[in-house]
Amino acid sequence: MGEQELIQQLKSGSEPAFKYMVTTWQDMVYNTALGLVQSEMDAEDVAQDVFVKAWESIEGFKGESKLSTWLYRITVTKSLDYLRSRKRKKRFAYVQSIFGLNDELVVDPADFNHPGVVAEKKHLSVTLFKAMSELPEQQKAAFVLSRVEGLNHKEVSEVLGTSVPAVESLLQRAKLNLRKKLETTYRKDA
Amino acid sequence: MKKFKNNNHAAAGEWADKVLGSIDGMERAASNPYLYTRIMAQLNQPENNWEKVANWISKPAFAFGAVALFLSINVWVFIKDKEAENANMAVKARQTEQLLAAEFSGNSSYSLVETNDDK
Repeated sequence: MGEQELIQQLKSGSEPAFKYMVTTWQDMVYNTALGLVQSEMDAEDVAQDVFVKAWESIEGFKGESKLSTWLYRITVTKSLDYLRSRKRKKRFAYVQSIFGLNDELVVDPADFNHPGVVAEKKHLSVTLFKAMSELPEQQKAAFVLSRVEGLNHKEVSEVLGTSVPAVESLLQRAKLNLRKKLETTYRKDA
Repeated sequence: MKKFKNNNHAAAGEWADKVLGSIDGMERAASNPYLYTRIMAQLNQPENNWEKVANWISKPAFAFGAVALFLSINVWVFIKDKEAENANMAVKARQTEQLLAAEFSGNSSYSLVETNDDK
């Protein structure tokens, strides 16, 4: 099925077309969300929300970009929203615990182990994902799209709605920040 | 000591490179095979009225609209109040003018000059 035909069918509310879209891009959406939210359960919820949002807003899709680029864009937005809401909840629980309104401990999520990483590099990738979680939002998104999803700079710029030089700068800063964080971790552990 | 520091710095850099390269050649994670079923279940779930209201209220457009409405009501009340105050002052000024005019006009019942009629 061609992309234009698929978009037309989706706009007319065809369920088989929607199923085709989900099955074609579900791993792409899930893997991107997983790289950003770093939890398998949360990434599944985000992936579900992404396709629901896509189904509900397909009418507004103008076809100026590829369907996959549009889905990437929704995934990044939903994942970042999810991370913001998680941070807000954590802050709220912390404030509640100060005033004795909440006795539950505010626990950080366990170390994230991406299932796609080669076995012998898993222990190192845990450290990398931890450092990635501390990056500013835009740098994190660019880094995940480029290194976890393997998109080239032009594709990343289309997803993030910026220029290629802006993406190059984001990736350079992300790498610098990660290197700094990793070197600090090394010195602390040494 | 300096040599140790340099060695430590080089080792930290080398380790950071290794960590940064740990995701090279990683594979894409596979999603839940029942994702489509879950999505359809969510789409077919009837939304209750409270959820609809909550969704509507939580939209930024609603918040901006509410603030805009609140500000316009305030501005409207302020303008109306000013107009009423001005009108009130105009009425008072007119009344004072009329009172003065009545007091000093020839038809006034009070007169400081004694006329022949009084005698």
